[in-house]
Amino acid sequence: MKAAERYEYATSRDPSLNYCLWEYSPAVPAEDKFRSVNLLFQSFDYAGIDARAFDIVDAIREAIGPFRTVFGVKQLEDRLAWEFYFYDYERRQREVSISRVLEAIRPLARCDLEINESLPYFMFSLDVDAELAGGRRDIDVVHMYVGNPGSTVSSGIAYALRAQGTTLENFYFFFDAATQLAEASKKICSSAHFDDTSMPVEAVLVPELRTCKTICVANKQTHDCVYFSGIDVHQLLFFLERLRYPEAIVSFVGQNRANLDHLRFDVGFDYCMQAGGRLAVLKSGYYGVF
Amino acid sequence: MSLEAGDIVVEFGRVARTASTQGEAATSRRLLLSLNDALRRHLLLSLNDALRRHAPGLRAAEAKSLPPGEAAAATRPGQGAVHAPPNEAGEKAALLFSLVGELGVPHQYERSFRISAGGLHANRFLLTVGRRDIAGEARERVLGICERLEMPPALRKTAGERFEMARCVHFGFEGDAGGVICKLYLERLVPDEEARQARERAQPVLLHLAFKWNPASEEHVTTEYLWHPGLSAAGIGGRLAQHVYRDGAQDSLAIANAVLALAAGKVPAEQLQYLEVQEQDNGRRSFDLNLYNARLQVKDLQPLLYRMRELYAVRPGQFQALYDQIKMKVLGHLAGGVHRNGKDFFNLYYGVTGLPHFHEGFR
Repeated sequence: MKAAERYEYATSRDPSLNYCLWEYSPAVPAEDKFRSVNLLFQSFDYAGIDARAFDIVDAIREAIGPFRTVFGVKQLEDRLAWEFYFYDYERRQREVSISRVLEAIRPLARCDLEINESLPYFMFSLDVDAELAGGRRDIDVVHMYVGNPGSTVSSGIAYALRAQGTTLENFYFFFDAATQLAEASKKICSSAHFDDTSMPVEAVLVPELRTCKTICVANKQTHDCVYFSGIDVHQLLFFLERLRYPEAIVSFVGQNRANLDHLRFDVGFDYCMQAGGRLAVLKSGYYGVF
Repeated sequence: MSLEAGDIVVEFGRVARTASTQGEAATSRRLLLSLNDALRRHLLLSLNDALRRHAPGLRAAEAKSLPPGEAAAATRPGQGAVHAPPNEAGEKAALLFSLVGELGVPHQYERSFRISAGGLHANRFLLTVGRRDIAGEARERVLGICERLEMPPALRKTAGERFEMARCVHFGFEGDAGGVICKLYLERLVPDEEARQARERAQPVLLHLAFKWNPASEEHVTTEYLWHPGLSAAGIGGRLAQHVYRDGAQDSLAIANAVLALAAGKVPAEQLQYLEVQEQDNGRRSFDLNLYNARLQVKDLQPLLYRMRELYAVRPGQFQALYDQIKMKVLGHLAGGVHRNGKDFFNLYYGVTGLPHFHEGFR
């Protein structure tokens, strides 16, 4: 089945949710236009990933319901990869647990990790790639996110759960783009991976994107990351072109602008400053919900 | 607090557990309030009194479903509660469920939707009952249900005369803004020998006889469902091309053939039940392909369903809202062809379930 034959259309009851599953008001009436999941399906199709990837989407949606999963389409150096994110802000009273999702996709992707469901996580994510979708590897890591009490801004901490143990991964800090732009800028500049005497902060805090709703800055182990949440389809297109996404993806968004103009998108890129003052983009991604 | 002989008794104090009370709570004070009628009336707070201050909000909430002019009138103080007019389709469907439930026998529930140039109609279902499961006079009980659903007397008489053929009966319902159609299908058990002979002679056999009526107008029709036993995929394809779609609707023929090919890829076509449908005095010429043996889900037909949606210009969002709900359901059968109104159509049946459901905890 071609991806186009799987495309889904917004109904009058579809919620509009960003990559944190926070609701927003659509820019224009959404009914009969594309759901954001079509971006995911189109990327699967472009990458030629095994059809089981679509089955994983179906299995997750069947298990936990629609509009409860965030997907990220990631561009790495030479390939696409994907990540699925699950939120349940009820923490220990959660309905959407790691165990529940892993059980739902077990026929398609095994995971032998032992999960401690007593931990107060409000979010977790799973990496998906061609190897996993093709059944050639198991799930060997679950990313688990907890809150960050004591932070003066909305914040979270990510850990990687592997058979070998748990390791600290990333810190996330959220800023309102309209009122906390200066704080976001300071956060970007307060890093071992960015020297604002060598490079203007606008290299990261991209002017064309920072008119978004929320900016998130992440400190990762070997680099930093910035996310722009709540951009429109024109900004998404700008992002895809700037980050040199495959032509098939760029043209899909370009040709379907009218079908995507009700949505607000989220994008981000990992970066570090290299010798000579060059900003290296290590990976990037765009996000939606299914 | 408790009531004793019309008096209110209030007990209060410290809860104590002693040997003398054998673990029961002890109370140190007991107050008896003797109430006369006036005091009782004074304390009485009726539900209406409690709700009175919420009345404007309740009126506004109810008015949201009304046209603007009616809503403005409905929200004025002093207006009584405004209710939507009774929904005929909803009431008839509920009545059918209730009447079949009163038979007190296991039955099957199968939903369907119709898609055509007239739009998407999803308020359709079948309730199937085994004749032998019905206690007492099955004919009278079944026809009694039809009478409650306002089956025209002449049609009821005909159904009664043909009732002996039934191994099981299907009660059908479809309802939309245009009205309600009720249906009674009598299904035969075709003996193996009869099916074998029919296959050898390439002749169909009668499988269902259906009586369909509009309770509001007494319009009715009798429909024959003719089974062509043992047809190969090529044989079914030939019937579709040369009979059902012989006058056109080639896009629909292509979709029907694609569904057939998908099912025949899962199970030999001879194990699919291919029926043709005809009615006296109108141009209905349609088919019904039973797909249960192919063990498919609705989502397996997704590209073909989307082709149907495009063919009949159904809004994508409207179709998606239905598809989201049914895509994981078991695929039942596909009907299509030329309906009695001369229009091309498809009906998709899905998600058959046994009723009544019992929660394990109630067993």
